Formats: sequence, C-alpha cells, structure tokens
Amino acid sequence: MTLDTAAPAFSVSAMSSGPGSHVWSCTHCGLPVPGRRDHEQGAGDIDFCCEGCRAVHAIITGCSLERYYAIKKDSASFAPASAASPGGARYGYLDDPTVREKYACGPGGRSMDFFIEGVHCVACLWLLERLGTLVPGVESARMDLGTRVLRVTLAANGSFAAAAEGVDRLGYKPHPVFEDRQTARLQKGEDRRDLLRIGVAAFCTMNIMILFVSIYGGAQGGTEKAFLWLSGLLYLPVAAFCAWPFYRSAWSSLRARQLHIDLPVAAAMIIGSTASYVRLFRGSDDVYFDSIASFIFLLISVRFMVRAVHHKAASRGGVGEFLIPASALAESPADGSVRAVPADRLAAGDMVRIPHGETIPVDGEVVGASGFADVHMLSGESEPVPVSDGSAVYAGTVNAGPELRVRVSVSGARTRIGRLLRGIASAPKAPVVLASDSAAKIYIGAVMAASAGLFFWGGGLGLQESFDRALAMIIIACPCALALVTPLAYRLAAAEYGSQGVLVKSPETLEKLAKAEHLFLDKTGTLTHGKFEVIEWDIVEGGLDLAEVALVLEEGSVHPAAFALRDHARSLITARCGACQPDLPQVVDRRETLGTGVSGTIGGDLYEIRSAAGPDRNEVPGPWVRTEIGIFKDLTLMVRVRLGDRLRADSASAVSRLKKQFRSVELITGDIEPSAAAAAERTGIPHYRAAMSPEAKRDLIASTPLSVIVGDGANDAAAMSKAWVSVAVQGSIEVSLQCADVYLAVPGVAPVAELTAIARRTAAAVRWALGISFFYNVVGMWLALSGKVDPLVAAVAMPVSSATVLAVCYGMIRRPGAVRGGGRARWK
Amino acid sequence: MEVIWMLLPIAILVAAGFLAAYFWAVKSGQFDDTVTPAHRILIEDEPEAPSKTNQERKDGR
Repeated sequence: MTLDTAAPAFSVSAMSSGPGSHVWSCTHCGLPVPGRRDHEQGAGDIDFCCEGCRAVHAIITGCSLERYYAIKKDSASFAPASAASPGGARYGYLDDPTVREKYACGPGGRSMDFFIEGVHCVACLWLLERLGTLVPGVESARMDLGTRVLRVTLAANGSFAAAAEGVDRLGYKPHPVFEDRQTARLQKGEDRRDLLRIGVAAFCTMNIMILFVSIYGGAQGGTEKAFLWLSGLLYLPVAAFCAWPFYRSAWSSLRARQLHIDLPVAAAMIIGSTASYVRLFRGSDDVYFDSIASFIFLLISVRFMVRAVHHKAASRGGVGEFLIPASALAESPADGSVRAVPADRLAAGDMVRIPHGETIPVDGEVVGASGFADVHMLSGESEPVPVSDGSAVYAGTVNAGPELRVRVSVSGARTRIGRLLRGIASAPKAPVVLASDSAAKIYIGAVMAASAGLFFWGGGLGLQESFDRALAMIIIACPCALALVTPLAYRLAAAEYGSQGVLVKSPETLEKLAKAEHLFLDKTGTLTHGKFEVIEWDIVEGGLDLAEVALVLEEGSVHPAAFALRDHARSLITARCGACQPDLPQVVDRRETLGTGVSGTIGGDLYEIRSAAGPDRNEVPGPWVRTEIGIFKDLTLMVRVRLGDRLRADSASAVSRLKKQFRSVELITGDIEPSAAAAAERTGIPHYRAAMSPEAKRDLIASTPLSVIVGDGANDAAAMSKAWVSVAVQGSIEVSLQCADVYLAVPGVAPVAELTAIARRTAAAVRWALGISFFYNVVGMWLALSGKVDPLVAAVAMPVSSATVLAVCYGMIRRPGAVRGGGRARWK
Repeated sequence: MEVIWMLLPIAILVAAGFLAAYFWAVKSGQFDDTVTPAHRILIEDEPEAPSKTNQERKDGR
C-alpha cells in the first residue's frame, strides 16, 4: 500500500487496446505521466507527472543547472527514481545555537552532515554538490554515496537551515545526522588504524624482502650479518604494531577456551618471531623475518577486505526501509511548528503529524480529530478502520483519512512491526554456516596438534628441519573458507535480497530455494494488482474525457467502482493541468441508485454513470474485465469505462525469468476459468488450474515435491504449510510470517525470481569456496609435511588462497555495476 | 661496495618518507570514502561557461 499509492495522484494509465495511446515520461523524474493520448512525446516536449517535479525543474533551470538532466541520461541509476516532493517541513531549528554547538563539526564548526533521501543516480551527486549555486552562504557540499551523507560547509554568514531548505527544494529530503558522534569516531579511528597497519606492514615487509633477496643471492660474512640485523630491526614494528589484532583475538579465544582462526596465526607469529630473534643473537642465519612479515602483511590486507565487505553488507538498508518511513513530521511542543526528523529519533510523548496517504511512522495514539487507518499491511483487514481520539495506531499502516495527529508511544525497533522484524533478524544461522564453523574449529585443532606432534616427535629429522616443517604447517593451513567466507556469503546474500524488499525468515530457506524445482503462482494480488481499477477510459469520437463530471458525480459513493473512477479521474485531471485546482462543475439533483449507477444534472445536461453492457458493443472486452460502465450525456454514450483487476506490468517478464529457473511453473487460482486462462496466456505461464479451493491447492502442493508457492499469506495458508518453500506477497505481515518462509514487502512476482537467482548464486559460491579451500588445504598440508615448501612460500600462499576464496564468493553473489550504498533507499 | 652502507639508509629514509605521506593521507581522512570518487570522476568536466550565477564560486567548481 505504501508503495503504489503514496505519490500524489500517480497511476500508470492502462494500456488501451486501441491505437494512439502512448505513455509520456515526466521530464524531471522519468516516471510515466498518465493520461496523455494523441501523439508520441517529442524530444522537446516538457511534461511532469506531478507538481513537485514541475517545481524542482523550475528551480534547476533557474540556477542554470540543466546539466543535471544530461548527466542523468548518461548514467545508470542505483535506486528507483521517484517523483520529487519538495516542501513540507521547516528547518529553522538548525540555526539554533545549542543545536549548532552540539552537532556542527569540522573546522570552525561550520560543517554539518545530512543524510539525504532520494539520491538515486550519479546526477544527483552532481546536483547536490552544486548546492552552493542555489544557496548563497554554502561554501561547499560534499557527498558520500556509500552512506548517502552530504557534508555541508558554510561560509562565514551561512545558515544550515537555508542549506537544508535548499536541498529540500531540489527535491531531496535531508535529515541532519545526529548520531552518537562518539561511536562513529571510534569506528572511524579503528578503520584508519587498520589502514595504517597495512601501510607499516607493507613498508617493513618490502624492505626486509630487499635485504633478504641479497642474502638468498649469496651475500656472505659481514654483509649478510648486517642485513640480518637490519631486517630484525625492520621487523619490530610488524611484530609490535601490525600483528596486534591477532594477539588480541587469540588471547580472548584462549580465555574463552574456544578455538579461533586467529589462534594458529598468532602462534606462528610468536613462535616464529621468538625463534628468529634467538637465532639472530646466536649468529645463525636461519631466520624467518621475511616469511612472517609477508604473512602478516598479506593477512591483514585480506582481513581488511573481508571486514569492508561485511560493513557494506550490514549498512545496506534491510526490509524495514520498505515498511516504515525514514522520516516523520514532528510537532514542536512550544509553537506547534512542524519539522522533519528521523522516525526512529522520536521519543514517547512527541507529537507527529501524518498527512493523508502517508505511512504512519510510529506506534502511538491519535489525538484530536478522527480519521481512518488502512491496517491491511499489519492485520490483513481490507477496509480502512475508523480511528478517533485515543485510538491506537501502528507503524507501517497508512493514514487513509484526513491528516492525523498522533502522540508517540514507541518508535523504531520497539514498534510492533519493528519487533517483528527484529525477531526475524536474530534468526538462527544457516545450517551450512553452523556446520562450517564447527568444521573450522576441528580443523584448527587438528592442524595445531599435528604440528606440535611433528615438532616434538621429529621422526628422524633434525630439530631445525622439523621446526621448519611444523611452522610451515601452521602457516599454510587456511580454514578461511570455513570460518570467514561462508558466513560472509550469507551476509552478502541477505544484503542483496534485503535491499530488494524481500524478508526471509530463516537463512535455511535460501538453501532450500536453491534446490526447489516446481513453482506455483497465485493470480489475484500476485500477478495482478489485486484491486479494482480502471483498465480503459475509452472516449467516443470527438468528445471530452469528462473526468470532472465523473469526479463530481461519484463524490461520496462507496461503491467499489466509484473509488476506481474517482482515482482515475483525478489522475486524468492532474495530467491535464498539473496540481491546479480543477474547476469542478456544480451538480444539481445528484442521485445514486444502489447497484445501478449515479446521475445528476450539470449545466442543463443530464449525466449518468451506469452499466454500458448492451447490444451496441462491437468488441469483446478482455476476460479480466469485470464491469463495463458508461458515462452518458443526455442518454448518449460519451465515455466507455472498463474496470477490473489489471495484470501487473512486470508479471510477464518476471514469469519468463522464472520459467528458466524452475522445472515447472503453474498458475493456480480460485478465480474462474476465463480469467485464469487469460492471465496465463498474457504472462506466458504454460499450465493453469482455475476454480481451485484452498483444500485443492493444499493437496496439489502436498503431492508435489520441492515446490514453491507464491501467494497471499492469509488465503493460501493451508497450501503454504505444505510447500517446500512458501512466499507471501504483501498483505498482512504478521499473518504471512506465521505461515510463509518469505515475505515480499514490494508488490509483484519479480522479487521471487531475484531471490531464487540469489539463492542459487550463493549456494554455488559456497560450493566453490569450500571446494577450492579443500583442494588447497590438502595439497598445502601434504607439501608442508613432506618439507617441500618452506615457511616463506607458505606465508604467501595462505593469504593468497584466502583472497581467492573471498574473491570467488564476492564475485559470484554480488551483481556487477551500480553503487551499493548504505542507508535507506525507500521506494516511493 | 662500501657505498651500500650509505645507500641503504638513504633508501630506507626515502621509503619512510613515503610511509609518512601515507600516514598523513589516512589521518586526514582521504581514505574514508572510497566509493564516491569513483563516480565523481566519471562526470565529464563542463566546457568553459561564459558566466556563473554565483560570483563568489571558485574556478572550476
């Protein structure tokens, strides 16, 4: 609900079967502009889908920033475009001295960070960094696409409020970043220190290697001695500074009596370093400075990469972004002025205002005037529920009535839906991950035991040789695929499908989906929009579209057709004249006859809206058309309107993708035969079954192994309980998550294809990673045991194998191209 | 070959100088955002604009 209907008066005009109806694109945001007929959109034609886009376009051209559109045309976007919605909140409080003192940063306290909603392509980056053109007083604006944070630096007399308002006028929503600076600074400090460690390790390792090359090349006597001592000196920073994280985690793993992958690394470090220094002082030349320095350098580089991938995956918005809005309009208790704040910053007792059609951001109670709430998403009720002073409302539901004032009870993760999502997030790990965790621990234990055994037993080799081999063994053993990469694979996958609006109850579902073979799709609400709307608005030759007439005559009617007619009429009017107030004609003698239609007199003519079925039809409407209605003027048909439940525009392409992924795809529905046949034919589904009762569906699914069902969480609960994997498309999230394994927060079937693709890629990536790692470890162990590889080679081989496995996993799961930013990407 | 006793320390000093530069770059936050510069460079430079609306803007920005 929040997704299709939140934007102002926007709905895609239906594809008419007749000629001459094309879809224009909004000049600013590129989304379709409804209602245009006649001719193709020319290159110079300017049109807008809504008043917001029109306003932003004017501002952009006013500042000579039209290059925005040229850049936009050339660049790929990494989030869906949305219609601009400037205005709304005020930012005056940003210039309050206490606020500035607390949250301004940078030199002289002249900078402030804003999280920007609505950034979806590189052109947005270009535009926002030119904020100084629009707002005098802004010295610079620098955007970080990864976190979607814009750092605005003011000139001497600048104002943060003006800057925020400027961003708002450009069509984006700025949220000042009021996060705990302390933790952010600590995190950044930690990251920077890791980078420094890599730099120091590189410096020392490379210089040590240069010295050792000459030793290997045959340097003798004094030269050799001098070089060895110099390497020992250069090695100190590596041992003391660079290897520190390994000592730390090895120590804590020892204290917890758990085996950890850093244990062999730390052991190799300490044993190798000690032995090397001892031998150096004794005058021997068998030292390991080169091996261990390279080992540490390469290893910390690889670990850094792994952590960076983890961070990126974790910071990507999860499904919550699709269900709860990121910002809310908070009322100031002092003067009642309204400002935009991040929704999860609201505290109990704050007052928020929720305009009509917006999603409610918090759990709370209504204060003052009453209205309606659409709770379909939470509890499944299809009719809006009346709310009045004192009624409870919940985050995620939609305000279906006039503007509401709500007092906050809880916000963010503590709301009803927040707790639900959090319960999902703490689901147990995938079986594969748990298994590899234990396997890694067993392997580490075995390697360390074998290595110690080799050293102490010796087996006829000298002390030197057995020490070398034992050290090589510890170094070369790489359980990285088991301990690091497998969990990372699932993390990456979760970030991928989470950012598409897919909620998966437990990661085990991903493994199951990778093996699934048979797909069953429901029709209503899954392949179709699930609501009654206008499919065609057929104007008889030479007439007007009579949108205002329809709007005025259907005013106040609660017939389902009336809602559909009013919506479509509004979008036609917006397409014609933007958001100007339409000139609604006066109706005299308006009359509604239940079940038949409405009528009224306008300007002396009798207008009626009633059924148009009759012998004067000359074409058979599509089988998914439920009703034909006509608008009659003085008993003459002026407009023929066809209503029904339309197929989603993306269903056909999603189905063709799904057909390649599954062995069989079938449409099963409780609807009548002609509708099912038509839907199957239009989407390309080879088999369909119509008029199926819930029991029949359940039996069919139960008798098919490895089946996936996609349908409505409430209605198909029986079938879902028998399926191998079940997917619920929108609807009540609480009910759906009780019966289904997967919940789609976005409409349509396309996310299922995407999720299946991700599941298969992840399963394949994990298989490859484990395979490569197994092969490498077996060969490496054998080589180390038989003395064919010395510690230096081992030291290089191990991080390289780690990096290979990581690269394979990452490359196989992530889709190429586009910026995967952190922060909230909300579909509008 | 004794020259090497002079060359080695010099070489290490030069390398240390580079390391110092790296330290400076990390500490001044140049590596904090590695995502955006990749996109920023893909935006072509504007051709010479005859006039700019904001007179105080620096050249080239």
